Order: sequence, then structure tokens, then C-alpha cells
Amino acid sequence: MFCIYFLGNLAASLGSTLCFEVSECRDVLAFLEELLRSRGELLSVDELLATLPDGRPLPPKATTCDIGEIRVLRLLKGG
Amino acid sequence: MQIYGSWGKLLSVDLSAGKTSEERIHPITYRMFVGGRGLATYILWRELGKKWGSVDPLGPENMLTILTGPLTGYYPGIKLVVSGKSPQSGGVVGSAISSHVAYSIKTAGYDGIIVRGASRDPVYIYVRDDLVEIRDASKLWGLKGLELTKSLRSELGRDAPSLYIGPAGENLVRTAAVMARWFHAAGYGGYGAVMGSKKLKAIVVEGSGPLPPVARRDEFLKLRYEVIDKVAARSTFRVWGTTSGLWRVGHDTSSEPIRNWVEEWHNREEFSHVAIEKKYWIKNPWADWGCPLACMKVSKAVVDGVTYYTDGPDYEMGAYLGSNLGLFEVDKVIALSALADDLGLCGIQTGNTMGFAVELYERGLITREDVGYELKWGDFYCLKRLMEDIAYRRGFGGVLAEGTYRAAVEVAKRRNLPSEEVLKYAVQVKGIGVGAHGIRSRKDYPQPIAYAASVQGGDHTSVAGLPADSEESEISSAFLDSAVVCSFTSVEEETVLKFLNAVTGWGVTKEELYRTIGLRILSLQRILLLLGGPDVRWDPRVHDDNPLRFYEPLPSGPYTNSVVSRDEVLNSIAEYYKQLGWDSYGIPTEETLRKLGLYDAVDVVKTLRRELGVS
Repeated sequence: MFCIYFLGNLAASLGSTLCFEVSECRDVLAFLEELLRSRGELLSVDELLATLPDGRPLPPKATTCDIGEIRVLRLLKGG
Repeated sequence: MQIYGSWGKLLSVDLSAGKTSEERIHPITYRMFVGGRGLATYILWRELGKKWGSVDPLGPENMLTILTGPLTGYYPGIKLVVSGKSPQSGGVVGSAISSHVAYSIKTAGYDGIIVRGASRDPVYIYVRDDLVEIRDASKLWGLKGLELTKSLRSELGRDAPSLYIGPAGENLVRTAAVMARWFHAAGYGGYGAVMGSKKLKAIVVEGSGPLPPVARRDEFLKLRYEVIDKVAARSTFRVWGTTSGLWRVGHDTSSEPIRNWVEEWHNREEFSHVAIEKKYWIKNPWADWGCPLACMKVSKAVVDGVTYYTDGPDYEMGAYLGSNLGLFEVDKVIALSALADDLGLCGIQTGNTMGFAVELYERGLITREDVGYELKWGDFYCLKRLMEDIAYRRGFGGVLAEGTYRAAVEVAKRRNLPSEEVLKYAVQVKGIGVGAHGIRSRKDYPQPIAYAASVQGGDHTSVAGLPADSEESEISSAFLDSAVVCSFTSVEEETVLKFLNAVTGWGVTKEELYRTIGLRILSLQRILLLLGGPDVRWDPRVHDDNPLRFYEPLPSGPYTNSVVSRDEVLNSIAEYYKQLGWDSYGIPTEETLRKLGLYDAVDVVKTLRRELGVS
């Protein structure tokens, strides 16, 4: 099981928690971007802050097999 | 009382008297207002608050504040905040700019520079640690950005960090920016014109000392590496910079201004970061001091034998000096962006006004007789001429130099029309052109009150949102601008707060940030905005609203017919104000003011209510 906890505007549009059964190990950020696009949130992962649930950064090249939960916030506004 | 992260003193420059001095700021003031935007708001309130409505932003009574924050020099990325009474909104706008000057101010032993009064003749301020001089700038006056930086280099014998204005600031153009290092601009607020009104061409700062002491060094270092890790992971930003917005915002989320916001969607692949990188970028990445993100890209284009350099164009410049003007030829957008930089114009505010002018021309509200030539969407030559006319206040450029709101009022007057008949094409909020992020598709800026309820009007970097005690709230931006942290290198608030506490030794909690510190800054900004004056006064019942264009359905793209509902906007504003402890007009209640320790605002607010007829 791989769970994503959304905060802020993303929680309002996607729900605060989404959990998935993952049959293969996927890069966490690629998985997240694909999910957001499939739900109509056309955001780059660089506009988001994805961390471990306690706020620590994701380990480099983390996969959905390495990590069970992430916390995601839309961080960057503008540009 | 020991202070960490800040020196507890500002450099004060009185240009009328030609004197400089040090000004102490009590540590408790920092604890209450943090620094940057918050400290600027406090200082402006303290000195000008009681007579705010009569202070001319372009008169000697106004102040120019250039402030760092306690995180300047420690947190990755480097910014400072320029402020004063805004010639655009009549309120206080915290206008952030990336510049090495921020670091230099701190290493010279100050937390910021406050400029009062006005010089009779052109001057620049030179600071080298304890040495502070007001120097003659008569030979620099009139120079554009590139010429000026070359002249300063020649005069000083080296490249020294500087803030400066171009001809637009000298000519008191309300869309003039305070510039740094060719392409950086503190554009929102119009503080380039404030510098010009003081005959202040530049501020050069060279610091060679240490940063102030840090309260908890080990914790600070650990957090610094943690933040660098998070920021460095933003590879898209590093590779593409904000230029990627030209496709993401313009195409994917359909929120980019096109022809004065008539549309917000395009499908032009030639107008995307991928196409721009291949053909125009000559340096990537590029960064200011201490920034691990390095989102800047230097582009070069040759138009009619003239070579132009600019950053990106970054998203806002590409959108406002490209698509908003119906111009999709990248080389010419780079040229306009470079020209805006060189003239010292804010590309957002000036592009907003230029798009507005072209639409008025198209609708026959202004004519060739007014302008002196034809205005056409996408016509680089007339747009370039129009931009120069604005910067030098030539002909009709003098009307547009007043910014979109005031130009609309003037055009209506000349045509004997009610102001509303022209203002309906003005995409601005409280005198400030809306940043290049639309709200109609709800895919880029999803909150419909983002601009309508902002204390900085159309500023896309300081938007309102619900809930008021979350990172969606404008309090979040006020905090980053006070700490001072670049929004592109910011991370989640818990970590930024830990960072702030490690540097300062404070124990600020998220609760305190939203319920006290941030709310205090926002409340004072709101009061000063409503006090406004002398030529504009905002009525919350009329002006706490979106530009009318945002109530028109999107005419094209994947979100065709998407529109914002005014009922939703008004209901959301009411809820937002309630959550902030403000009344239904967005005026902080007496209870809120007392809770925030803003006792001296109580009577001012009573008068404000009476004047607005809402007591």
C-alpha cells in the first residue's frame, strides 16, 4: 500500500488521502506526477513539495516500494 | 537584550538634509514584525500612519525601505524587500527582489536601509561597511540599466552590488521598478518612481564583515542542508526556470494573459521553454549568491541588428510582454523584455498597461490622434515605441505611465464617459495590474479571491486564500517576505519556522505565525491600503473584487466557458475576513487590533470606518 496525504488546495480538489495497491516499484515522483495529471491537476512535481510524513526529504530515487507514505503540498505559486 | 539573525540596526539616510545615521530597532520589534515586509509595514505605520492619506507617494515625505530579514544570508537563496507608500495602490507593497545587495547590507553591519526626504540633485548612496556616502550622480542620471552598471563599474573600479533605477524611475513612471544586476526587478508597488522622486539613482553596498550571530548553530546547519536537498531536487525548475510556465500556464492550465486577458490559452509550441532553450539560451543555469535552485537563464536575441539579453524570458515577462500583447515571436519578446529591464520598467505592470491600451485602441476608446500611431496586437514596432513613450512620458505615454487604473480613469474623463466604461477593460486590482496567473480555469490559481482580497492587489506573489490559517492564506506570503525567504526556495512552513527559530532563538509556532505575527502584518497592511490617498481611495464594497474580465467565460482551450462566480467570490471574501478577525468590510475589529497589540490603530480604524460610512 502506498498512501499520499495531500495538503492545502490539492486536498480540496483531490481529497486529503489517496492510497494505492502498487504491484511494481515505481519512482515516487514519477508516480505522483502521473497521478496528478490523470486527475486533471496539470502540475509539475517541482511545484510540489513531496516529503516523508514527518517532513523530512524523500531519499534520492525513492520508489513506492521503499516508502509507504508521502505528504504532498503545492508549494510554488507564480513564476 | 541579545539578538540573533539580525543586527538590530538600520542605516538611515536623509536625502533632504544630506545626512546619514544608524537607527536602532528594538529586538521586541523584530519578534513582533520579523523583518522585511513586516518591519517595513511597522516603520511606515509608526512614522506616516497618522497622516497616511495625505502623504504623496512621490513626495519627499514618503520613505523608501530596503530591508533584509533574519533569514537573509542563512536560508538558501537571496532576497530583500523594497517598500514604502506605493504610488500604485496607496498602500504598502512588500516588493521582493533577488540581489546580492541583501547579503552585502548584512555583511556591512545593517539589517536594511531607510531613505527619507529627497535630494535636489541626482545622487547615489555608497556603503562600504562603516563608510556611508551620498555621492553625486549627475553623470549617471538618464542612463539605462546596462550603461549605468558599466559606468558604476568604471567609477568604482569593480562590480559592486547595487540597486538602481532606469529612465522610467527618473520620470516617475508608476510602473517603474527598482532594478538589480540587469534583469532583476522589484516591480510591484512602483518603487522605482519613489527612488526617482528622491533623485536617488542607485544604492551601492559592499559589506566585508560577518553575518550576525546565530542562536543555535548546529540545528541551523542541519536545517540548511535539509532545505538545500529539497530545493536541489526541483530539477525542472533548475533546467527550465520559470520559462516553463509559458507552456504549463499558457497551455496546460489555461491561465496565461493573452491579448489583455481576453483569452488565457494558447497552443503555440514555438512559444514554449523547449523551443526557447534550443534557440535563445546562452547561459543556463544562472543564480544569485547562495541559491541552489539557479532558476535563471540568460537569453540572447538579435532583432534588426540589435542584440538583446534578458533572463529567460521568465514566465511573467514572456506572458506580459508576449502573449498579453498578442506577440508570439520569441526573439521580439526577448527584445521587449530586455528593453523593459534597461528602461527600468516592471514588465508585468507595463505589459498590463500596454495590453490595456491596445484593447482600448481596438475598441476605439483611444485613437491614432491620441497615441500618434497605430496600436496593433503583435506589432513589435508599435509596442516597442509605446514602451519607450511610457518610460519617457512622451505624448500619450504620459497617460499610460500612470499605470492601468489611473490611465483608465483619465481616458474615461477625456471621452466624457463614466470611469466604469473604461475600467471594465482594466485587469487590475486596487491599482496593481494582476500577475500573469488567471483564476478562471482554477487549474493554476484555484482560489477565486486570490487577488480580490489581497492586501497587495494584483500581486501574484501575495495572494489571498482559504483557510486563512493555512499556507493558502496571504499570511504565508507575508511571512516569507518578512523572514525574508525566496518563494522559489521555500519549503513547507514547519521547516521554515524551525529554520527561523534556529537562527533567531525565537520559539515561533505555526499558531503564533497565523494568529499573531502574520495577522499583525497583514492587518496593518490592510488598514494602510484602505487609508490610501491622496489621489485614490479604495472602498471595500466596490474594490474588493476581481477585474470584470475574470467574470467573462474563457472563450477557448480545454476549459472553455470556465468562469468565476461573483457570489462565490463575495461569500469567500466574507469567510476569509471572518477567519482573520476582520469585519465584513475587511477592517480589523477593535478586538483583533487589541489582541495583536496594535492599540494605536484603534482610533485610526474608527476614523476610517466613519469615512467609509461603515461605522
